[in-house]
Amino acid sequence: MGELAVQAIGFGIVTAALIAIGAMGFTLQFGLTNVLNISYGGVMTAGAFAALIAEEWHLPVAIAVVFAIATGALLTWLLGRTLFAFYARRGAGLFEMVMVTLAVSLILQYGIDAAAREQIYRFSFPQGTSLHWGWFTVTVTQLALVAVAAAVFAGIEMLLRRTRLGKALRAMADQPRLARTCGIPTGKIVNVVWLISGALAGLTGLAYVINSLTIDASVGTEFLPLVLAAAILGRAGSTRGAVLAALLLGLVTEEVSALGGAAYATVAGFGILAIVLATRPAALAGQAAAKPEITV
Amino acid sequence: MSFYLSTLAVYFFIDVLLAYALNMQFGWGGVPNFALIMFQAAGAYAAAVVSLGPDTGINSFQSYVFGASWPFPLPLLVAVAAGGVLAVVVGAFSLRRIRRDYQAAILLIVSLVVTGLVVNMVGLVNGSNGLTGVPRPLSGVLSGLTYDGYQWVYAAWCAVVAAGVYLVVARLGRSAWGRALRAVRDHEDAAATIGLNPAGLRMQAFVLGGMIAGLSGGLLVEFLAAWSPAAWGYAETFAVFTAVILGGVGNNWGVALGTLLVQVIFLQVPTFLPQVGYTGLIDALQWVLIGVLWLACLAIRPRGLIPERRYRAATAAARAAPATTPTPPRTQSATASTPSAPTTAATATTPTPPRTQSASAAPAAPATAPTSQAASNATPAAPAAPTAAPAPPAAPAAPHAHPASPDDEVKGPQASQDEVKGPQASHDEVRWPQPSTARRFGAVSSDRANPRTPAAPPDTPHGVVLDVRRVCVRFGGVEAVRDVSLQVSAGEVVGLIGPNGAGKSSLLGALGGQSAVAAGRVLLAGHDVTALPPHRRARLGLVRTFQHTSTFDGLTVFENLLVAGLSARGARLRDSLAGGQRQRAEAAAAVWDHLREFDMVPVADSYGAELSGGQRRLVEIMRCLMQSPRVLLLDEPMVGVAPHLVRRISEDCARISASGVAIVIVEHALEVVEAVCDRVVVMASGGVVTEAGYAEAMSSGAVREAYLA
Amino acid sequence: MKKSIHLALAVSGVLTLAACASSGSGSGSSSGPVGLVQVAAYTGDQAFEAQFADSIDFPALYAVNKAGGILGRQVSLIQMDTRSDPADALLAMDKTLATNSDVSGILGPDSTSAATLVPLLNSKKLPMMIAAGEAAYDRSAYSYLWRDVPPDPANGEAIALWAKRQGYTRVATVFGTDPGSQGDLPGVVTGVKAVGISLVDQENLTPDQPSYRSAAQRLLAAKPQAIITESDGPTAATFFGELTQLGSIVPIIGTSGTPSTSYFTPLRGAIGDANFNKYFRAVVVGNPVANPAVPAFNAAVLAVQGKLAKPVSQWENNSFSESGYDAVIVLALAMDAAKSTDGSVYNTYIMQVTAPGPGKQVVYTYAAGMAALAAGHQIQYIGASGPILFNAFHNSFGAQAVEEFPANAPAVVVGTISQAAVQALNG
Repeated sequence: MGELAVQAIGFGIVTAALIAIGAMGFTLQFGLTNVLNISYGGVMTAGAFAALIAEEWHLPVAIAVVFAIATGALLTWLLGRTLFAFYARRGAGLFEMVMVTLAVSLILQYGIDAAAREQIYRFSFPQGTSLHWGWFTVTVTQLALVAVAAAVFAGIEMLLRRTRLGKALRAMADQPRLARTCGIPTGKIVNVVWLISGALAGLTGLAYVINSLTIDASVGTEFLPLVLAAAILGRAGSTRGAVLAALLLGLVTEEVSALGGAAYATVAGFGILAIVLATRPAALAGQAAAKPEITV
Repeated sequence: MSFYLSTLAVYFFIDVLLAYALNMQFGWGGVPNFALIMFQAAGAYAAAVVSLGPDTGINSFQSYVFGASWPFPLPLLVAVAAGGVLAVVVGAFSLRRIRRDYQAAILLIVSLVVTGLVVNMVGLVNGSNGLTGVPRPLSGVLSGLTYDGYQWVYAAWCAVVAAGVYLVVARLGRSAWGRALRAVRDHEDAAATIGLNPAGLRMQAFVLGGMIAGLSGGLLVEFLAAWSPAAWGYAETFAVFTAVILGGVGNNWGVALGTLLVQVIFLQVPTFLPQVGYTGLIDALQWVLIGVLWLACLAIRPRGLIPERRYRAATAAARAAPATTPTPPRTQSATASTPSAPTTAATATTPTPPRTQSASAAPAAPATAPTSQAASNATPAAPAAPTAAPAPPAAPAAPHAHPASPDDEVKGPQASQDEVKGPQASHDEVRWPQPSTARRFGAVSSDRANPRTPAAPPDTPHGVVLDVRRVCVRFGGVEAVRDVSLQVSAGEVVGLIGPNGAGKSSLLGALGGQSAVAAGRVLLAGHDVTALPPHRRARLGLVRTFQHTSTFDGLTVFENLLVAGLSARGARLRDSLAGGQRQRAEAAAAVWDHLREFDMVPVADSYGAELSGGQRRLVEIMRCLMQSPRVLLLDEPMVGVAPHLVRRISEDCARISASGVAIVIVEHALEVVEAVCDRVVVMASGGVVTEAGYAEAMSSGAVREAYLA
Repeated sequence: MKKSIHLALAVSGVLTLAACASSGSGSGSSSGPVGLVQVAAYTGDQAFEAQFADSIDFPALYAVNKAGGILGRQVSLIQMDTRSDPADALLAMDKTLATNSDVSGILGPDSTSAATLVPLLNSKKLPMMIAAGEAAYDRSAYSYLWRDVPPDPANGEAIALWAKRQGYTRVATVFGTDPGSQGDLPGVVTGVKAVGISLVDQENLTPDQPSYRSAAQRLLAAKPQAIITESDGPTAATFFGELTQLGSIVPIIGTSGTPSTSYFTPLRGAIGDANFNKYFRAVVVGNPVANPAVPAFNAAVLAVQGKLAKPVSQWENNSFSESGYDAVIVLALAMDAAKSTDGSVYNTYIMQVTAPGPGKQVVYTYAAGMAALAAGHQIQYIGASGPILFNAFHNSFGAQAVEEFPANAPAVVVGTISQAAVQALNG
């Protein structure tokens, strides 16, 4: 039993890496624009399917990865610049924007479903050999996944803290109106955020499919709640928080599985979010008094 | 075909119930309940387990809790209860004060958790296989009917239930409770300052909605004879949302129309189309279309096809029995530009035509119109009448018109009152609140004294009403208010000035209850209110306004004031279901008084969102007055207000304090402070620099230092 | 006043609709095609049912129509989508019955819609060849309901018997929590216990999760000798793929719900073809017999292969499809025997054309049966799934087969479990 629990830590880290990539992208977007973008799941699916198409055309694996990332980035940027901006200009409130993203999510998911003829497709990606370290067993691909997540985190941290763009981004997230009057090129920054977060969404979709080896039109929307939970738990806009929350959720789901409740794994994860909300809601949405505005 | 139509009818009425539930929770309560279908499921499961009998013997292939064989209509009652209980549990942690988008996401996640639990705890309600074999109600009694016939009877039964729920919901919507709920939806903080308990009201709406959804579940499961997680995927919630958004948020007929359009027409018509592409293509495309429909709706007609109905106070008043309260002050303001003599003459004559007008209006009104309708409700009909009746040439009513000279005003009402009372008696004897009754501002309305000269001596005792003792307020690590003490007596106006960041608004927040006090105490007329939430303080007489105007944008001006007048007492759910006409009548009378005083009668039916900034300020102030506060905290009331209105509001402040209200006003416009305040408190960096009369404070070096430091 | 008017309007509206629309719905007209309704989930969670339905419908209709149809009329297939939701299924059935005047028989309902549709169809006197395995219908009181597949528990018990035969003493179960999979689990559990095998681990997996590694690890720690499983394809792929990555794989026995492309393709991809061929077996319902009906079935499958999910080899000799095919043939023959497509008339003939008896001519194809009936004989149809013997509750289930599934080739039977053995377990 103890051994299982320890092994679950290893598995938890791998799962956490997967969640973290998605959560970082989501929180970056959410923190700046204040749009709780439910169509993020649809973008994840689109990224995964782009990689599938690359595979069908027998393109090398690296190209498939590029397809996924590019699709995610472009799609998100397009949605942000056209649809979301349209409704934001018309004075949509926080919840109205959620409804807009929900509608887009429906269109994405069922559009892909229709195009994919509602089939489940097989996705082959080299898994690499299994390595055994003491109690832990990982494949090379899983290690790569963790490495990618770490690299993404490092990259974003550097962007936010060391570059001018990052500083401008943080300023915008904090005080959008003030940032505008300060001469910060808010439009450009929003563009950058859409692209980066979209790229991460595409990457997440791809990573998910690499992990599960099958793909259908609902992968993104199925995985989104976990990503959402991690982003909310980690506080909107905070990539560090997102990573920590992803770790927590990954570990909890795997530990619960290890202790015999595989069916309850994700329920347990969401349960944590529910508990935090019940006991310390202010910790998650501290600025209830301030009126956050949509910045797209 | 009959089958198809009867099934469709059953589904329609059940979906309408769901739409009412969502309308209650979301349209009026403002809670974006993405977990709606869960409540239907709770009701369905509850009804199923109490009508299935124990899970042994014939039911041994499924396992579930409880298991009784209760006859109709008990399972439905259990379904209602289940929906309500689930709403209490879910509401307890998801109705916190958080952003609506968070709330939506959280409710979505909650529904996923519940689905996960139900599917995996197989012993609960048989997991993903669900329950089957639920007996149809009264199948023994109605065994004479054919299958077809039974379906139609069931459809009629569902129609009856839907109609009954409609009656309840419509009544609640029109009631004070419904109005209070919508006020909370529009601006929670402002609602708290008028004594409404936002959390309580929202929970009530949530539970009511949950109960209605549970009822719909009970009806559905008894019709389908089976229930499983497949029947309550979260896509179902979206279909209901589509119906509500398309049909009209906040309007019961609207959501019913939306249900018809979406659930019946939109989702059924494609099934009649010839098969295109592979099986299931049309189905997938349907959802794409729903998404497109949403986007179109949100872009073109976000309030839906039949939006929330605007409450027309004037029309409501015209239907009511005629009034006693004098029309003249209103007509007087209209004739502000004309000299007083003709005005007085006019006042003598004008009552009669409007009187006949309302007299003719009265018989038109249904004979059953409650006699307790407010007297003054009819009054606005009179000003409207002059345009048709041979009224004296009156200048068009200008909301900004200044009151005519005081003497005439004092006389006019008195004169016409006597006149009016006589003939009046023949129409309605009872229950007019006499204008001279000791409502706190009854004195004001009949007594429009010059702003500077005190009117009738206030009957409130002199003494300290607001006692602030060494209050500290901290936000995170920053100390916004340091050790501030302050005493304000009845009738005093204290100005709170200082540079930005001095802590003025923070102090006001602590006094009003919006921020927590880290140290110190706040006493209101002897009561220690330090730990009380804003709505409790409001009920004790401590009212505050906000920097950004806080009108209820989704309510008309009349309703903005009415909801303040009814607040804690009349807005109780119990009372609203019972009727509560009398309190409403009294409050409505006060509303008309205020509207007349502030020359806002023409905009009585405008939504808060349709007013100018200055008008909104006035509405805010009137709203405060409706509660007869002891202490009024005004947070930068002049921000964004046009200059002539600034003067106007200053005069109103003076008048209000003259009647015994203690006022604390935070202001940057120093001429206002000078004009209005008896005393100023200068703050800087969280502490009090000095406290003195305006002139003295201004000439002291301390203030200059404070501003420049 | 206004309120009661609304109430009255609502109720009278409904009753008016009722008056307008009430018309008897007769079943079966006397000319034009004979309608058979296939009730299955073509969309939604249970959409995998669709391809099975197709593998039954198209070959059967081909066989019947090629021989001349029923009473000289061609058979037309009406596909009714339950959308994996009982509420939708009811409405869809209502609409189907309303818009088609020639419905004579029902192929289905399936598990999702059975509870809701069976009472309706029974009242409409439409004979149903039900495909739902719930034990609820073991002793059904519905006279128009017929089932020629064993109930779900029987499949589980057959699996247990097979495991026992293979000599396993420790097994584990891996089941998805979706309704289709969960339905088979209780039978497996009771069966395993009844034969005296130790159930060392039970894993219930929520579908569509990114990882089941801990569950796989847990299972390995319990050291089972075989794994009994049913779930949807992606879940299986993720789980067994991770199991393989963790280092070992053991024999896998799938339930009758597993054989399908949507399950095999992902699983093969996850654990590799070599492992799949070596370790995977499924116990399927349907009696694999060598009789003339089988080649007839295969020929029909090949004739309509354009309409079936690829590869077509998965449908040849597919016991489940064979049972369904036989069910359709039986309905058709019953109508021929009764010389009527009216359910209330031909329902009793269903038993007649399948029960053995003295002087009855045994037939193996529709064409032969039709000819024999025309010549005035009584027949017993024995199908590709063997003899169909309905008991007093209109249930018939035969032996079950253990099969292995080479890629792109028909399944190969490697063992049989008889009905008697399964019933003996039940005691």
